[in-house]
Amino acid sequence: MSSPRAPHPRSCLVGLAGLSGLARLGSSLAERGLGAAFLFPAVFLLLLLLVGPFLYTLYLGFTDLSYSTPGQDGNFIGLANYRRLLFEDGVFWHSVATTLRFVAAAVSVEMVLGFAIAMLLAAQVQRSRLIMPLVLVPMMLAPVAVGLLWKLVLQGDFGMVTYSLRALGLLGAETSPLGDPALALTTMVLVDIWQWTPFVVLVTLAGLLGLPRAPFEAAMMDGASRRRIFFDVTLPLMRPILAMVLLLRTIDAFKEFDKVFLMTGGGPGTSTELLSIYVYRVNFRNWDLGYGAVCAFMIYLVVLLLCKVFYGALSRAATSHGRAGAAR
Amino acid sequence: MSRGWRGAAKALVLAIIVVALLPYVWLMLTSVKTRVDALADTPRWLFSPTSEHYPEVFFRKDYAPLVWNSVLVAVGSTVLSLALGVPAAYAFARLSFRGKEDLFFFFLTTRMAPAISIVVPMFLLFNFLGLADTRSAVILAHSTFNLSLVVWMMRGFFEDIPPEVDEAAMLDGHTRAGAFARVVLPLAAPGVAATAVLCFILSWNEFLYAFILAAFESRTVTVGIPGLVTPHGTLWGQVAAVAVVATVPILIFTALVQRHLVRGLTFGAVKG
Amino acid sequence: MTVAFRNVTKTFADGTTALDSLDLSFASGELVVILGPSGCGKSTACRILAGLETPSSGTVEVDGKDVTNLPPRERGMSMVFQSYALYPHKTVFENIAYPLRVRGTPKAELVRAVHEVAAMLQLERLLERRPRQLSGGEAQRVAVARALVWKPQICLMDEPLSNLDALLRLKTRIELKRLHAELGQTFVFVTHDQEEAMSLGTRIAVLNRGALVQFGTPQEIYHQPATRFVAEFIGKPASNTLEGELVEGSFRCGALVVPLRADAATVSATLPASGRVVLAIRPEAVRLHEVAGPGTVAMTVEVVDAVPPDTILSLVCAGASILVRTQAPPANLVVGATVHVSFPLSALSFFELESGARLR
Repeated sequence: MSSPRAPHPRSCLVGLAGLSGLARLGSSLAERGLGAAFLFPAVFLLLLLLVGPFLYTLYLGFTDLSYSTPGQDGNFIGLANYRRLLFEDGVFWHSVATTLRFVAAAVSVEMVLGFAIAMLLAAQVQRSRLIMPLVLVPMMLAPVAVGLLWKLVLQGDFGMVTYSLRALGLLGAETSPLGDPALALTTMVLVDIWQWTPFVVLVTLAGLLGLPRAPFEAAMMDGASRRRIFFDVTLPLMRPILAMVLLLRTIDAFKEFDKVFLMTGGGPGTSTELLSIYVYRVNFRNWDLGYGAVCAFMIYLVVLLLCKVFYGALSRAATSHGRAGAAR
Repeated sequence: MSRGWRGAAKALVLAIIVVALLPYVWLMLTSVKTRVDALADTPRWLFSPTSEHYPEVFFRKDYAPLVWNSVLVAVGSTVLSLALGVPAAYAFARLSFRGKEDLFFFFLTTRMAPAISIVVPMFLLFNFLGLADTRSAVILAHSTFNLSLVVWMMRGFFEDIPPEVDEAAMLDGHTRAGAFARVVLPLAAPGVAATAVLCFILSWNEFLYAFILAAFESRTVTVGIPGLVTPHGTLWGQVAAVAVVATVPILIFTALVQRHLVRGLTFGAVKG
Repeated sequence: MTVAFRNVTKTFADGTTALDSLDLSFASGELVVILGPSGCGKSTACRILAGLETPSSGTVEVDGKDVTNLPPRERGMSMVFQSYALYPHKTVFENIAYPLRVRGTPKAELVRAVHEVAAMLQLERLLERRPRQLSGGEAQRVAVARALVWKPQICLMDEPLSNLDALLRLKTRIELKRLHAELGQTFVFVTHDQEEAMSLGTRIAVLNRGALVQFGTPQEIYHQPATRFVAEFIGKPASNTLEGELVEGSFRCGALVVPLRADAATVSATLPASGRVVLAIRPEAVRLHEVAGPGTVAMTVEVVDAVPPDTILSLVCAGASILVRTQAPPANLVVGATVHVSFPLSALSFFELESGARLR
């Protein structure tokens, strides 16, 4: 029996809960302040450097700003630039097609080749640790340097690779890999494969080595052949990581600029004029900034879209890989 | 695995290494070839080396300041990105707030943003701010991708440290900020170091921002390379010398952070 | 059908020796338990039998045929892994069906076989789920179903119960026993849990440091441990072992004296007349007396640990301490009280001090 003067146990509990709630609110306010202090500088800088310019790009797209044409000093012209892009500018659409061909060819070969090499290296784990740094060289070089060194070895008259290809009968004496409009894009694709296949190797090898061993042993016990194990176990388990690598490569290839700029500048003619090269030309050769903004905005839009897909793939890859790690 | 298969695998791996390295080795050789050797009709593997191109291009042609610009830009961008990005990453790793994942996605999009789309208005912005052709402009531009790299990578490193560590530090009398600075940050130091090296590499290798924003006085080594390539009479020995100086430090740095490379390049999805 | 390890040694790349000249053979239909502390090589033995590891030397034979270098899929064995190793991207049905799929079993027969084994293990409700959606016990049953669905001659189980909680472990143990009785296949069951081994095994192979120490029925292992190691490893609590001296027909260890003369014919015949030996006796074999008598030793109660229905007493005297398990503890038992104990001669085991080998 409780004495009548003692506070009711339940009200006492409620009071305590209120108190601890208050304390929690206090600390959460402090945490919120801290979070803001920690996040604000980074967010502010990016807003200033990226979102500001992005919005300005949008605005420029509705103007006729051009540094090369007198009188076009940023007058509002509505959707004229968009109309020009969609209906009048064949060169833009040609560069879109060139970009798509470049991305599709380069990325698909990089994926297949890279994963195959990773499988090859995964079978000899010990040695792969020594080999990886060598294989990584192409992707770690500055892209401009990659362009430069390939331009060097592909010179028509004395390039080491050109010479070897001719000696092997793979290249005609008069054709040059960079000078021939029919060959130039293929050459760009091959250089991109040389540069970025190591990336696919690096990530998929890490993925393969991070897979749990148990499902593979289970499949062996279940009687599966090497081939079946690859298709029934390896490939499905690697799918999230492969998807992530594919998207990452696609986004990067879509933005390709440096080495093509250095090696061909988009030529000969417009045979290697990727979107980014075209946008560069509109803005910094023709100084047609209003129209250039619309073109740039198109690239941004595509990348943003791919980014959204990539984000999904990323979290799937992270969870699948995390789970695999935990199972070991 | 049968012995024949093993032999074939070895040969294949060797071939892959040769293909990956040969063009680069050729570049290095070219940097120590005389003009006659470099332009020979038949590629020459054996020749008497010369060291004339290095002093020629770096001192007489004044490419040395470009290296200095590259160093300043890369260090500046790395320091700025770490200073702003590490606390932000901690907030993402430990605090819960509304719209957290959306904000995190925003950082991803800034990492991916195509330079060619951003660089025009940025060029106008820096002109307006009086930062045209300055190292500061390039440092700020490079922070767009490096800052998000830091946030993404460091969030993972912080999440690898059990939250009980922070809680223990706070029970010992630290504030949340104190726990971060005194206890968690030292534990994450190897991650910070790896992230810093990656930032340095990305900034050092970057071309387009640097090319547009600082094409003259403040240009970096990467921007200096195309200038040496002319339609006719390119001095390949000198270009190669510049390219070697531009790439060798990066390869050394890569070896240092190889363990964390996968994580940095896959946004933490694969730990490697 | 017989399975035999012949002089199997396994040394890993890092120099550790997991198995040291293992010799072990058994016949079909048995449920052989490989038992030992962690690191004794029991899992390695199981994986070598499966073909997942290759021995450094020695051979593995099935029916007299050398299978040492056969890949797992040509050995006709299945395996339940400690982590279950279910395929995370396949449904329960597909997980169970996989061994049949790779063997090209016709669709109708495959479905029938999967449902049959699923019924046996109460998995019918779960067939459409993914491994991620299963509890530990369910995942374990799926792993067992997958190992049994194609009716392999031998089913290997590498610590299949160690990731389950205590209650479920007990239930599953009984389930496995029933399955073995129903199917009549050979099971090889690896565990570090001696209670599991006692309950399941038709025979138990005790491994220590990569070598076989004893291979026998649970009764033999329990009552006639082949070495001091087995005596100290088996039982809950394990045997009391006392290092002491044989003097004039009795065993002395400090103040503890066990007369051996009373039954000279059975006890001391195989024992040396004198010298240092190890005596072992099960905690439940020690007899408690209210009063001192011939051959009893007075000991002091140090700890009383009552876990109904048993009471475990820890007793000490100068130079010796033992555990005693009893279901009828003396009345008024308190810490510090004196009790009198005697050691029935038929329950005593003796081991060599140096080698630990059994003397009697």
